[in-house]
Amino acid sequence: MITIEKIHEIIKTSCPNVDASKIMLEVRLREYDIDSMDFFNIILELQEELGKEIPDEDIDQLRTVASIQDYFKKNTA
Amino acid sequence: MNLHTIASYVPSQFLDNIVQAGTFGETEEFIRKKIGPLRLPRKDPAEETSDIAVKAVRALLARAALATDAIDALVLVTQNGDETLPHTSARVHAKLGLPQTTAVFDVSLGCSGYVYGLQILKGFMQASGYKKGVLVTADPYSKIIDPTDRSTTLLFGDAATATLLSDDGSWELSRPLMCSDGAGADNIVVKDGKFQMNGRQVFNFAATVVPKQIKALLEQEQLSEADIDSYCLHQGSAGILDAIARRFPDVKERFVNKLAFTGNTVSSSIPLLLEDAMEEFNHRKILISGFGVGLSWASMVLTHKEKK
Repeated sequence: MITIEKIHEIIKTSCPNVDASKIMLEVRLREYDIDSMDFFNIILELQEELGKEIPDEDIDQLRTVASIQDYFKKNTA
Repeated sequence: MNLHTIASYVPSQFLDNIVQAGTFGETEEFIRKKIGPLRLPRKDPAEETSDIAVKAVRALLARAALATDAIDALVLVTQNGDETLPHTSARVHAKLGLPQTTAVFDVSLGCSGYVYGLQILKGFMQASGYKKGVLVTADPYSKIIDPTDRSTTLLFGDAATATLLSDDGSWELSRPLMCSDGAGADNIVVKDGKFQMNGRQVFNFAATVVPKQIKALLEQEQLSEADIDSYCLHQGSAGILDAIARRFPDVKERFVNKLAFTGNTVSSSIPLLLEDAMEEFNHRKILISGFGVGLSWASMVLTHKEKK
């Protein structure tokens, strides 16, 4: 499991210019000025939180805060 | 065997990266903050890899007041040589008019090549009883870049460097840490003559393994993060450098970013930084770390023997 607060914290660390608290659950992260390099950083931090590598083919499942939560639900015991 | 002098050749022709970025719909801010290079030096298309290597070596010979017949060995790090055969260092040997007694060979490595190259040349010289050796880096990616590939064409610049190792150099080389992960080799390849890179996987690789290797090296050398005056890492991209530096919050500002006017020059990026860093009066210890094609990564500490 991962909390919304934790996802916001990861977004804040990865992209300090973005106000993570304003990100809607179902809206794609790229709508909030999160560019490709920011996204690489977010995935990196999520991987560290998950404790395993996130394969390229799973990246599309991580485009919103809600889908990140779902992904963690499916991939953590 | 210590590091004595470094010299470089950066072509005066360049590609305006802000203009290039505009053709892909990228902003100047994105280039400045996340990618890094404002200009990408480009060798003349008629120039060969050996030509830019020779220019760097000539600059070194002038700076170190060294004659060609004093060079016992010359090692060239490149993966984009003049031809498949012969080795490009043979072309450099001829163009410089080096004596037949000079040993020359190529090393096929990319962005980790400078650190590996220092260790290879140092060991080769010690085992052979040589006094002066030159490590050359010249890997012009303009030969293989696909100008329509936004994930690579905004990054790479051409340059060459030459480093003199000698028994009377001032900078001692530590025992390096050198690693490989061939399972990730497909992430940076040339296919059908064009360079391809999985940006996310390379970012992931660099941001994960490099901080660990730097920490292991500091432990091996019994140094703290603050003992290092300058962290001269391969200039992969601004985003990669930031991601690595963020893992060292107490010394983050000591991680050098000089991507703006050279871009990622592959194995030349570390010696280009060192050329300046070694001139800093207060610098006693410099950590260098290269990472990329292979996947391959290597780190080393340089210590000024009189300022320890």
